[in-house]
Amino acid sequence: MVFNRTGILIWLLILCLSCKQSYNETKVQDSRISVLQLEVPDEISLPMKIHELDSLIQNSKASKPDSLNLELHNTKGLLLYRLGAMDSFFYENKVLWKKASQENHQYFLGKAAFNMAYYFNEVEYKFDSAFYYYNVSKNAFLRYRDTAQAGKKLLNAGIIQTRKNDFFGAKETLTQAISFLMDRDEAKYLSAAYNQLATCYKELNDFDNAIDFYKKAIHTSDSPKDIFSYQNNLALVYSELKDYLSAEEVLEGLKPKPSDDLPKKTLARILHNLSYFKWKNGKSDFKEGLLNALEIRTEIGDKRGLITSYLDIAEVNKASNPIKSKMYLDTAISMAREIGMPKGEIDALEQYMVLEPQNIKYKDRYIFLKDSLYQQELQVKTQFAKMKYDDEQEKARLLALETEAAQNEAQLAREETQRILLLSLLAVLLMGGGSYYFILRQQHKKRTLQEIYNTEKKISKKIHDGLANDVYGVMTAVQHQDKAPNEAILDQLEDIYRRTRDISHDTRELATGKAFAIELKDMLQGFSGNGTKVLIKGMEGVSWEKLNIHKCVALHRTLKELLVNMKKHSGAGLVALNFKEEKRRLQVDYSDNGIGVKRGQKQGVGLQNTENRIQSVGGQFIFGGVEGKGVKVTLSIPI
Amino acid sequence: MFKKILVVEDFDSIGLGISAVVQNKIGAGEIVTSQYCDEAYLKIKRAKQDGAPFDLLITDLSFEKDYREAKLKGGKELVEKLREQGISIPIVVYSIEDRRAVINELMEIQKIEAYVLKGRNGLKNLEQALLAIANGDTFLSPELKNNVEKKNLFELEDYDISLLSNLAKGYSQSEIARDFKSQGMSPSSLSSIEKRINRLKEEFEAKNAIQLVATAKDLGLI
Repeated sequence: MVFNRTGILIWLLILCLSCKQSYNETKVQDSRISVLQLEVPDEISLPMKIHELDSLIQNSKASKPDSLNLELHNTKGLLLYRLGAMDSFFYENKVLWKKASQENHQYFLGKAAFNMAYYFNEVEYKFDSAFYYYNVSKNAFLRYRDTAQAGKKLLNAGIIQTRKNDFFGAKETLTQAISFLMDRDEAKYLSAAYNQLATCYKELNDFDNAIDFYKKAIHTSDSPKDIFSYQNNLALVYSELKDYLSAEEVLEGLKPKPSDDLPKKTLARILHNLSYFKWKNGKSDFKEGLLNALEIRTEIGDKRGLITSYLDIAEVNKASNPIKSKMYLDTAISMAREIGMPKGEIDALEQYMVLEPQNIKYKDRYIFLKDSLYQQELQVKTQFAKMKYDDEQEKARLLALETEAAQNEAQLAREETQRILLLSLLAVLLMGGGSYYFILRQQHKKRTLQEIYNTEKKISKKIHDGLANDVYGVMTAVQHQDKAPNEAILDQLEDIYRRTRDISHDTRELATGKAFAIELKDMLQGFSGNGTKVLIKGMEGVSWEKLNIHKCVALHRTLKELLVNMKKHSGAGLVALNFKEEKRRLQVDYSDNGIGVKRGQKQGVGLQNTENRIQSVGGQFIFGGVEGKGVKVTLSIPI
Repeated sequence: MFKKILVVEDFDSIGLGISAVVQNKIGAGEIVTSQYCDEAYLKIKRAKQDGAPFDLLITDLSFEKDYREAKLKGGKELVEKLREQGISIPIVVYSIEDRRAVINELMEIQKIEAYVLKGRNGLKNLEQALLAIANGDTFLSPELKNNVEKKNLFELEDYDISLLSNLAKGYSQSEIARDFKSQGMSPSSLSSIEKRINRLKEEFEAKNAIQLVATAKDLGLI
C-alpha cells in the first residue's frame, strides 16, 4: 500500500508537470499521454487513476474549460477505454466533445469525434453515425491543420463506405485520404488506404486498378501482418479474374512464419483461400486446408470468415456431395442473416439455385434479397452521399462564412479607408472653410477699414470744403463790408475757422508713399514748439512706398493720438520718435520725458482706439513706461 | 498789370472777395469768374483761340460736388490739365489746403506761380502774390513758409547717435574725433564734433554733455 501511494504521487507529479508544460501550448501531443501512461506503475489500478483524474478535473473546473481541463477529460477517456468501460468511454468523449466545441478547440474536438466514431463503429455497429463522426473529426483536424490526422479519419470513413458497398463514395473518400497521407511518413495508414481503394476497385470490377493499388499497398507497407493481408487480397482479385494460378502463386509465396505473429483471422483467410485456389486449379491437397481454416474461424468466432468457409466448402462439395453442400449453405444462410450480411445469403442462394433449380422458393428469396440488397445499398449510398453532401455544404457554409468574414474585413478596411478619406476631406474642408472664413474676415476687415476711412474722409472733406469755406466766406464778407471791419468778430471767426480746419485735419485724406512721410513730418511738426521738442530719427530709411493707405492712416492717427496725449497730460519737454525698418516690419519707438502713466492707470479711449487701429492692419501696439519716467510705446506694422 | 484774369471759386462771397482785391488793389482789366473747373478749362482754351487769352488764373483746390458731372474734380486736376496741354498761364492757387505735400507738388512739379493760404490774411497775401507774379517772382503764404522752415522738429542722424554713444562711453571729444577719422566718418574734425554736440545739447535742452547723454538714454535713443 505504501508503494501504491508513492506510485500515485509520482504519477500525479508527472501528470501535473506535463499538464503544466502543456498549459500554455495549444498543440497537445498524443505521445505525452502515452508517456504518461507508461510511467504509471502497473500496481496502480485503472479505476484508481480515473478517480484521481476526476478530482483533478473537479479542481480545474473552477476556471473555465481550457486545454488542461480538456486534456484531463481526454486522458480519462483513454483510461476508460483501457478499462474496457466502453459506454463510459463514449460518455467521457461526448463531454469532451461538448467542452471542446464550447472552447472551439479543434484538436480535442477532432479527438472526441474520432473516439465517438470508433465507439459507433466498433461497439454499436452504427456505421452511419460512425461515418458522421469520422467526418466531423476529419474537419476538426483540417481546421487544426493536421492533414495526417484528417487523412486517417477519411480512411476510417472510407472503410465504412466500402463495407456498406458504397464503392464509388469510398473511392472518392479514400483518394482524398491518400492525398492527405501521401506526403506524410504514414506508411501504415497510406498502405491501408491503398488497400481499401483497391478493394473498392475490385468490387467495381475494375480489376486492373485493383491489382495496381494492392501492389502499391504491399509496396508501401512496412508491416508483415498487413502485407500478408494485402497479398491475400491481391490473390482474390486474380481469383475474380479466374486466374487461379496467379492467385495460388501469390499465396503460395507467402509462407507465414510463426515469428510473423499473424492474427489467426488472417492466417485462416490465407489458408482458406490458398486451399480454395488449389481446388480451382485441380489440385488434390486442398481439403485439409479448408477444414483447418474453418476450425480456426470457429475458434476465433470470425463469422464473416465462417460464411466464406461454408460457401466455399459447399461449392467444393457441390458435385460430390450435394447434401453436405446444402447443409453448409443452410448454415451460411442462417449465419448471414444473423449478422445481417445479405451478400452471404445471396451467394448461398446462387449455389442453392444450381443445386435445386426447381425450387422456386430459393429463386424468390434470391430475387427479393437482390432487390432489397440493391435498395439497401442504394439507401446507404444515398445516406453517405447525403452526409457527404451535408459535410460539403457545411464546408461551403464555413467557406462562405470565412469569405464573408474576409469580405467583412475588406469591407471594414474599405470603411476604414473611407473613414480616413472622409476625415481627411472633412479636415481639408474645415481648413478650407477656416481659411475661407479667415479670408472673408480679412476682406471684411479691410472693407470696414476702407469704409471707416472713406466716411472720415468724406466728413473731413465736408467740413473742410464746406464748413471751413463757409466760415472763410463769412470772414471775407466781414472783411470787405463797407464800414471798417469789427476786429473782435474777425478774431472769433478766425478761431472758428481754425478749429473747423483742425477737425477736418484729424480725419482728412492722407497721401501715400514719400508724400505721406512729408505729411507725417508736418503733423509731428505741429506738436513741436511751445516748450516741447520733437526729435525724430530714421524716417529717411523707411520704404514708405510699401505702406498701403490703411497702414498709413493707422500710423498717422496713432502717432497723432500719442502726441495729443503727450501735449495734454505729460508735460514732456522732449519727445523722441525712432523709426526702424527691419524684417519687413516698420517699428516706431515713441518715448517722452513727461510724467508718464500712473501704475494701474487705464489707457484712455483714444489710445485704445489707436491700438485697435494698429491691430486692424496686423500691427502691434505695446504701451509702457514708468511713472515719472515718461511714456514708452513701441508699435510695429508689417510692411 | 493783368488784363484778363480768371477766378475759379465755387463760393460766391470768396469769389467776390477775390474780385474786389484784384480790382481795387491791383487794377485788372477784365475779371471772369467760374464755379466749375471744367468750365474754367474751356474758357481758358476758348480765350486762347479767340486771341484774347487770360494772363492769370486764380483757383481754389476743392470744389463741392453738385448735380453736375465734373471731369476735373478740383483745382489740382485743372492745373495738371493745363500744364499737360502746354498752356503756360500764370497760376495762383488760393486754398485752405495747408498740407505741405500737396503744396510742394503744385509749386515744384506743376510750377504754379503762387500758393496762397486762405486765412485771416489770405486776401492780403493774395495781393502780395499778384505783385510778386507781376515782378516775375513766385509767392508762398508766409504761414506756410514758416511751417516749412520751422526748426522745432529736429531730425537726428546716425552720426548724432554715434556721437551720443561715444559720449556715453566716456570718450572725450578729441578721442571721438580720432575714432571717427579712423572709421572714415565725416565730419571728423574736432570743431565739427564740438559744434554738433553743442547743437545736440541745445536740441535736447541739456546743460552739459552728461545731461545730454542721460536724456538720450532716457528716450531710448542710445
